[in-house]
Amino acid sequence: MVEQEIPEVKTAKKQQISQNYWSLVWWKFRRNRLAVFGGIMIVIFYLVCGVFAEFFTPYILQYQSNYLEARPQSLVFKNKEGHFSLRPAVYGLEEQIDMVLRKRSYAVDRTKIYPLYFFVKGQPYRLFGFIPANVHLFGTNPADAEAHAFLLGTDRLGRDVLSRIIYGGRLSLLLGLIGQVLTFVVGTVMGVISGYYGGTTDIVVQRMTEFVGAFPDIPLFMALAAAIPVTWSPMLVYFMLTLILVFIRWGGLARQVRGLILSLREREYVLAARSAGASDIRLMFRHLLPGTMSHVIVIATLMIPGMIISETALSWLGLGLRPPLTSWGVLLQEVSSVRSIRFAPWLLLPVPFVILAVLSFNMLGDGLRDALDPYGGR
Amino acid sequence: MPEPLVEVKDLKVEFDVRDGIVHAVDGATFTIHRGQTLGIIGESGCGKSITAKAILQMVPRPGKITGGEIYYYRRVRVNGSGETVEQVNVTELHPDGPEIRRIRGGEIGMIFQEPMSSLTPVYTAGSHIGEAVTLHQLMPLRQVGDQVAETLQAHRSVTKEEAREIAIEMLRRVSIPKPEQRVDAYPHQLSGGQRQRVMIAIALSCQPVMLIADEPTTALDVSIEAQILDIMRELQETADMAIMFITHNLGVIAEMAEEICVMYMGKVVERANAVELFYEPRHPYTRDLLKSIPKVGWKSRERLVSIKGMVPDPFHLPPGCVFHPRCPEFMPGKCDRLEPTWTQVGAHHWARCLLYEGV
Amino acid sequence: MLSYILRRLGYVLIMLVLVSFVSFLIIELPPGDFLTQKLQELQARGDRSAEMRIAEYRARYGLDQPLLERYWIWVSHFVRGDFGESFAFERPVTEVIGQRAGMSVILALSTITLVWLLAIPIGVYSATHQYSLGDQVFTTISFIGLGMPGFLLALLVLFFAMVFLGQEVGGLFSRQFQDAPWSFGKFVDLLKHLWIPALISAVTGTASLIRIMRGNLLDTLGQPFVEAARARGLKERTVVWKHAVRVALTPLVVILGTEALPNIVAGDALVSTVLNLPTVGPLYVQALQVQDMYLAGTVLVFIVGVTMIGSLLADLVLAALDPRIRLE
Repeated sequence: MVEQEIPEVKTAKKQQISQNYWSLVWWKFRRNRLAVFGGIMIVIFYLVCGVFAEFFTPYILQYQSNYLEARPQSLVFKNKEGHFSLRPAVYGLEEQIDMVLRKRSYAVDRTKIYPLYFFVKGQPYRLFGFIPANVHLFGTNPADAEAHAFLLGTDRLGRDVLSRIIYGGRLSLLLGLIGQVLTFVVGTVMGVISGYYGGTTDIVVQRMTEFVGAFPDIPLFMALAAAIPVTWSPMLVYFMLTLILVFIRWGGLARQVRGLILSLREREYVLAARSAGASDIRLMFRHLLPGTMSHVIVIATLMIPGMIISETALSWLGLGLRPPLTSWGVLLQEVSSVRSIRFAPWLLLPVPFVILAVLSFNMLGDGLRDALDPYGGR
Repeated sequence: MPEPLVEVKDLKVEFDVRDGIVHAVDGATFTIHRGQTLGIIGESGCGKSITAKAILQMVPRPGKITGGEIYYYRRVRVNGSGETVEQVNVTELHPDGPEIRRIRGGEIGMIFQEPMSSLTPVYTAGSHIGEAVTLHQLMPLRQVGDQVAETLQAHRSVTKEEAREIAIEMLRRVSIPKPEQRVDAYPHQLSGGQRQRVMIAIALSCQPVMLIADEPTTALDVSIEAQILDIMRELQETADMAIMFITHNLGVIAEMAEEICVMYMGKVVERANAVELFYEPRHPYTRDLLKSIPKVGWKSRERLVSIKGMVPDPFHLPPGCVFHPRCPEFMPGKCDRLEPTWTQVGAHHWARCLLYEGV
Repeated sequence: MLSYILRRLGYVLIMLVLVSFVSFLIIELPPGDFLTQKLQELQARGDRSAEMRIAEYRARYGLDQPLLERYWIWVSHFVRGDFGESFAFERPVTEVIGQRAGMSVILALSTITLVWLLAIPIGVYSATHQYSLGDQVFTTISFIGLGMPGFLLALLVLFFAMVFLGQEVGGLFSRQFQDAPWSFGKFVDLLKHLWIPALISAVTGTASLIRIMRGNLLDTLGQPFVEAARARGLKERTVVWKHAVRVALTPLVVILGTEALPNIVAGDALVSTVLNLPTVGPLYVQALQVQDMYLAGTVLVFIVGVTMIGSLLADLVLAALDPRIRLE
């Protein structure tokens, strides 16, 4: 003999079920903190390195200081008199010459303190390539000619590593993005055509991608990149590299799209559309393709890290981009010898940035994959 | 009077899921006697499969037995010739412990609903049977006393050749043609009916005292189903084996069971001999179930009766009697406030309904 | 079964021929050739007779003949085991590649073995103890290892080993043991150097395998036959390993053939360059940089060949593991 009350929770549940697909996707994505973190990191990367590099870097790309292979200057919170101050500053560098090893190196000189200012008027640049400006996010006092702040050290030619990493990110990240967009377009179109028409078209495309796929990608990539004449202009080289990346990668994407199309092709809504008189092209791109989009976006996102890594690897080996173009891979060219690792290890600092970018894309892609299947249980 | 073999007393099984607690089994009570076939009938989700799994301590995570007891009465040979019965409290056994593993397959066998995927795809039919046989006939029978000959017999392990012979013999007994060849067949080389027969063969190869059959023929064609049921009945007679037959198919259970329990939302709502249940159903749910089967001889103008409403949301059970929103005999003021108790309504007939309580 | 193997081998052979042709083409793509570079070098050094000497070389290597003829000569010598001569080393390609080829294969095999020995138990543990602390730790670690570029990791590990451990790293042997005969000391030295490539392949390789194993096993554990096995009284450990893992292993072998092996072979080129390992990778890079045609071409064919044979072996293992596939 029990009396019970019915709780009024039913309405809330109903709301959840009747929400549409995209809000469910967004809600599930938001719950995955790693994915959100990845997404935010990528946005930051592209904003800082891609668009506003000139603003975020303390020095412009080509600037060569007199401090060659100087170690990173650590941040302290003191003012010029040496007392505590909220404004960050760096210690100066003192040149030391090691007669035995015949090396010049730099040691921390605590007598010199250079405070950092924000939104300083530093070296001039052109925003977006045409707007003249000279405001940098941070830097030393422009009036003080001796002041310098190399937060990540300098390289062989005295260039600020932090600035070079940010500028390098621009090329590396853009190459990855543009390359992937092109691969996406080519791969999707070919995959849809191949999957939809079947028959000879399908077999031809299949054989082609199989053949390209028989080569392990990095050695093939290297061979093709080595074929680019040294005499071509850097921009042309960049363009060709992108094309090579696309050429090698589109097959994989096409095959996945083809598989999806094959499974969707016989569904009833396709038959219904066809019997209503839809043309092939309309069927392919208006009906079948959207059904594959969620999977394809995930696959495409997860392919970007591979592109970035390939470019970095090639450039590092000297087979890809070359100076004066600056990418992360080019930056790593300077550390190919054991010697540089020992004496100037800060030159390895592009590596954590590459790893962070790759991880971010992976987290984002993974989160997208989970979110785009909001009905799958966990 | 047949003796009890498995006794289920007020069994409660709960699933703690993110949205709340589901009472999958809420106070089930029944007894299976030696050599008897007990049928459990109910709609999908009423808790019958979970009850069966609980008997073997196989409730899947996150489910847990949270109340009640299950007793298994094992016949044990004493002093070489006499017999005694020992009571095993299954609910207290560890799910992966040696005691329950001895019971599983060796003393109580179980066959499942999906013969298509209940056999491991990479092993042959023969190796399945061989594995079971080697496992259970390897276990020493508990001996009180020291008859050397019997101890030796009890510890002798089955050799590979013997296991294979047993496998072929079992396949023959379940009427699989050319058993010497089929013993090396892989599951994907067998038809659905054959696979289910192999499952029965595996279960029977260790000579269990009881077989739990969880919807064994639901996934099979009607003609194959008839064959499987025949085999089960035949084997039951020759081996004096009890069967706990779970299904939602009234026709099948009428053929197979001597006693039937009807379950709804985790509770047993009626229990009686098969004949009496079909001719004099007492619980309104049972009555509606029986009315919803098309019968040969009905005039075509009579409509099929369906039970009105839907199975309630497990997180928001109705107050009082759980069936009352769908019950044609609903008594307002009573059925939505009081929970019915288990009442005897005949010589061997019980029901859980306020109609039979003097309220 | 035998006919299947023969058919596959035939297919591999055809592919290798095609691959060799395409490799040859690709390597020929850059304008000029090895000798033009050498000519420039010699002329820069003031060698007057350079042109004549180059002309001699050209005739010797048949570089003045048209492309197709050169290719044919090269390929037709394959049967005799002659893969041409390396310009940069002025020795037959077979000699130059020689031991390095064997080393590449050994390294690839040991990487695969190590990765599998680590990943499968961890994956099984993760799946059977889902959401436990151990599972979460492993998932996080494998997440970081996933997509971590091998050669970058190699650089970092090199750095740490050098700075914090003071070890002379790189290569497989320290200088004093390089050409010495085998001894216990040499073996210890080998181990001291081997841990870095082993660590790198462990991190990058196991990560994805662990996740896949975990995912597969979770799916498999939900299948009816697992419950049926448990109902027969088998120990949980037996149910998991003898039944569930055995079935879940199948897709992993597929992945082994199609992804793992090519990745290892491809990654070899980069990681070996960083660590200066005596495999085929660094040789390939050098050959590309100076357009050492026959050397680079042969290495490429070798890499593709190894990948394809590995894939064939993986398919055979698959057929052995899963009877459902055998009937095709």
